[in-house]
Amino acid sequence: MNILEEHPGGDYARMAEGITQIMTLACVMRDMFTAENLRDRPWDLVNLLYMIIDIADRSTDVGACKKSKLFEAHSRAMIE
Amino acid sequence: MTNTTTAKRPCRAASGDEGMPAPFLYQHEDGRYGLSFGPARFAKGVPAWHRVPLDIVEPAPAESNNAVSSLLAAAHIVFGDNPWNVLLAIDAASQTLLWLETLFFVIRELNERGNEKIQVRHLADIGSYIAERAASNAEQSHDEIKASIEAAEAREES
Repeated sequence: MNILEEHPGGDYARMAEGITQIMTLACVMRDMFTAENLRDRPWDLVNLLYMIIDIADRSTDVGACKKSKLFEAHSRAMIE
Repeated sequence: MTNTTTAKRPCRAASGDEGMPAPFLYQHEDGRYGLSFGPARFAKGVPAWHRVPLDIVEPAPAESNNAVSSLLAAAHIVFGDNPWNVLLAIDAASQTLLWLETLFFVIRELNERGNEKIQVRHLADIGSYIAERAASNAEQSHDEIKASIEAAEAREES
């Protein structure tokens, strides 16, 4: 089995989901900067930024874990 | 036990007014403190606990820090953790609710604009994830603090 293959709910799917969520939050922040009725709520921008950091942190953890798994699988394949 | 503080005035709460039972402070030989509302009952043959006078509430200025640290130590025993860490759990829950408030506000705004269904869905996913994690953390903190309080109560009764 190719070591890059995995089931749909695996690490790659979670990382892609995290990046999509970060993209969504970033787009919302951009819109909030430009929309007239949203400029009065600066704390929302801060909250959105914290959420981006939180989701990026989670995605980074998943990515680091996946990297370790790949290295391990690759080493095993080389030995075999 | 040797008490080096200076008596100034009786503790108001110890007088038992305002319908509250008078608190009794006990100290174990190993240094632990126990607070009881009403006289505590100890098992026979366990003389390790002895009552500490509570009517000394104004220590000399040089000993103020000791008095504060004793209170914090008592709080640490009851909550099972540093009181500041207990506060952190509440702060995290409050922070999460503020995030969710922002998410719901943004979802409402996007919904009013229309044609933003995908973004709304992603934001709902984010809210779901954040709420689930916060609920799990809050539940864990609640269980830990509850177990600690129950242990403190059981220690009082024994």
